[in-house]
Amino acid sequence: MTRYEFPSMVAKDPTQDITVKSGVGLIYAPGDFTFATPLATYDRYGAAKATIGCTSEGLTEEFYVDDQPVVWWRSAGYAFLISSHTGMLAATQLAQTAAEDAATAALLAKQAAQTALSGMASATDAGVTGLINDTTSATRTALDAVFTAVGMVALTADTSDSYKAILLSDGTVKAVPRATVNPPTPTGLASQTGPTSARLTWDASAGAAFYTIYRNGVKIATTGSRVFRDELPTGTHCTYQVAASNAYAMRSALSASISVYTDPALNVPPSCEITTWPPTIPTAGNGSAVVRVNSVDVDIQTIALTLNASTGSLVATRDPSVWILTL
Amino acid sequence: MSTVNLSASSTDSMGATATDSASVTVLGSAKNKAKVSMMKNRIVFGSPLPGSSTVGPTLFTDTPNELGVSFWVKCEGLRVTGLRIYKHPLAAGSIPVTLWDDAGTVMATTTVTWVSDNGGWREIPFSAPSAALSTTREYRATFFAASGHYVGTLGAFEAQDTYEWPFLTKTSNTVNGVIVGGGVFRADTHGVPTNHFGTSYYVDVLGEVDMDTAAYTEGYMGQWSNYTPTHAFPVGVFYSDPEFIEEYASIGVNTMVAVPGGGEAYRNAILNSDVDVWASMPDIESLRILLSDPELAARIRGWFVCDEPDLAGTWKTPEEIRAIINMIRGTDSTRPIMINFGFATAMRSGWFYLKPGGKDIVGHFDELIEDMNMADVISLDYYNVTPVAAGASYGPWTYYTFITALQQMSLNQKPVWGYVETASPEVGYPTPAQVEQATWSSLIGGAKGIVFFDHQFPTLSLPLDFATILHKPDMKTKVQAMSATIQAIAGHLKADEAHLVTSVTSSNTTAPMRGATMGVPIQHTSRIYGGQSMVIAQGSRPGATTATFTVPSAASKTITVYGESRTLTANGSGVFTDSFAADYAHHIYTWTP
Repeated sequence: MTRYEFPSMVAKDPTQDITVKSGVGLIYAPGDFTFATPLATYDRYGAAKATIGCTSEGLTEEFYVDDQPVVWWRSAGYAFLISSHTGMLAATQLAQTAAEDAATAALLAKQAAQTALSGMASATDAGVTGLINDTTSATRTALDAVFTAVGMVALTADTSDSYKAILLSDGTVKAVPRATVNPPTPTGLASQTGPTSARLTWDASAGAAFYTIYRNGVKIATTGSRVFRDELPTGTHCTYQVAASNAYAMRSALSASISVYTDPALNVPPSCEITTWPPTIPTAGNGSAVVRVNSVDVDIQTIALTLNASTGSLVATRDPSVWILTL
Repeated sequence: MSTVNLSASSTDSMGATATDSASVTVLGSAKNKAKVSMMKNRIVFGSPLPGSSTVGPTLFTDTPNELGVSFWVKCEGLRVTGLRIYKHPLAAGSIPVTLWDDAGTVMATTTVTWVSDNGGWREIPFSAPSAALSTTREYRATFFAASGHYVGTLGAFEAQDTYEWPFLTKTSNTVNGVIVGGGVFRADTHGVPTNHFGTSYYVDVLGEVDMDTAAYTEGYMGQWSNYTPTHAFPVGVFYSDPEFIEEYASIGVNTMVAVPGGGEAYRNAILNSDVDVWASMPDIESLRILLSDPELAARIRGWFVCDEPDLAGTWKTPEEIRAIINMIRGTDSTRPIMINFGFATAMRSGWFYLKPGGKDIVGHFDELIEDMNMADVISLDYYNVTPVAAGASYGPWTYYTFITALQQMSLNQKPVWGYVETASPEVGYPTPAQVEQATWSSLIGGAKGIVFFDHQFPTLSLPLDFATILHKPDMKTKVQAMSATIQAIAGHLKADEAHLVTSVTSSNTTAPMRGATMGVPIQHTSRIYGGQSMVIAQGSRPGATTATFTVPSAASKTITVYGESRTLTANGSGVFTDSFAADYAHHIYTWTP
């Protein structure tokens, strides 16, 4: 029984923009292939298998593009290696009997990998990092050679952990632990709207590593927090949605949307409180005091201070909230 | 008594305005005088090059000489009130003590009579303070070693200029054909010395400066309307990861310094743990997110603006710091600003002049002074329990000096917090006892907050651990107990120095010299709070000693030794004696006046 594994990848920046590319469906739907039984499950010698493969566990458990299945499978004695931009780059026939294994399988796998990588290495797929780890040493060695030759991470260890491959729409292929699932869709999206901003909060999604915020259906930001503040012109109407992504950038569906209106009537005025240091000011000729205007406002604030006396002087400092009062 | 009326307004970008008016009382009071010293706060008395001495002077027997130091001042209005001289044990006779200007004119003088004794530092006030010194002239502070006995460290002024603000001592060298700087001497007779040499003769200059604005006193933090800490005295930890905050809080580490305010994990930890937070804000958007979160904003006591702007790797110019501060002030002027300095500030010498860009040491430290003036609370981290290098273990006594050094650099206008390492930023872990010693050294120096540096960076022998207090049971127990004591006497620790101790003598005058001090002097502070007087005292060098305190206000009082289940009785003159058996032992004495 052959187990196909994917070693851990060097994570790409999980905050980068991810959009599902077209062409995914080519692979997703078995009927798109010319092979008669793409969902049947076989071991690498063509014998029917039951554990890890395609049908018995289902494609949807094995391979994903964002949250959609695909990328790699073997079936009917063929191995398929999938590129992100064409959907499928190579299908190669595997050895049919154990006796043919060592030489044939290695050669074919190498050819398959070379073919796949030649496409993957194109400019549009700079992020491809996926590897296939076949515990059969001949195949692995062959793949190692190919990966090493093209400057990718070689298979250096065969772990007992199982991975599944995901293809992200930026072209990145990642191997993630087999049990990893997409986070649930965020709920509880709410806004606290001001005249120039909307502050969004939402409930946690299990397994979420970061959230993506969409304004009017367009992604505007990602954040590790469950708070996001968006600055808007006063009088703006817009809608927001949030999606949750896990550490592998596997993303949930978009949340329910909320509508926001930056009403000028919502403005909260700043606070304002004068303090001096020392609290009692020394008399003329004996020094001066720090006058501080305590003010807080989420919007930019402008502070002014005046001295209502005929004696003494106020001198502004480089701190816009501090003056020196000299009598 | 009169009043001054002030009116303020704050207007936001939407045009909404808030106003306040205040009527401030004006009372007569003398100008505050800030005290400054050239050597009191130093920890290295020779060349600060690695491996050099932190110990102190060599004793010399010679013919009579006039000996002293050449210096400049970089502060307007400074008057020299006296000198502090390290007396050779055998020094004796009539000793003129003099301040000269560069033309040989006597600026201030007095004469003391010395006899053979144990030697050590002697504070000698001039009969009258000097006139204010010029910031452009060289001065010389000297004494006449009548018996030919004096102390010194060769080469102390040769390696680098030293700027113990506002005093600058220069490497002795030739300028326009004239030798200046360094130590000065004149052979045989009393008079203005004109020979310059690289030796420090341990002549310290004591000065005072009239301050334009008020000195720090306990009410200082009342200037910020949103500085409303939950905990009486800040016992903090630097930049904790969120997963540790609740456990820190459970052992009394109540203040999170330099933590990012945002993020789900921090938010939950902060709200769950009831800690006070000094948040670090990288940008305006982070600041607004935090301020628009009312629950979280309610936990923010201040803003941590930058860490170690004095070091090459983390250097910030005053303009860069000002930009960050004004970004914060543009939305929030209700919370104070904190800046933490590093070991370049602690050492204050040319060798540690690390700033890129080529400014001289004066330009370098003048920028740091400017940084300090921008901050509302300042601190310094230099980890001297864990030695910086083999053979250069400074010890817990230095922590006192870091506090007092920052007090001097800020002309006593800022509260100073102290950092103590609980992990190992240098070589080897500190023991719980050392952490306790350094903490009390800081508190006696006047620290208004304690911050533990608890990040263990990985080394060949030590794993990465960003919460070592929590992972080392003996350290955790010690920190918890210490935090409890600090909170229990928080009122006293926050109070201003009460100057209750008129003298303290130490029986151990022979312990090997360290930090230019022989024996085990007692460092101490006294405070009054809630009708209770308190003296906190500590052996300031390793070694056992017995201290005799004179505290007139404690005359005939029963004195409780806090936390030790024992009492002492002061005699009718307020004199009492106590043992400090362990290295850096401390005791807390309380009584009801």
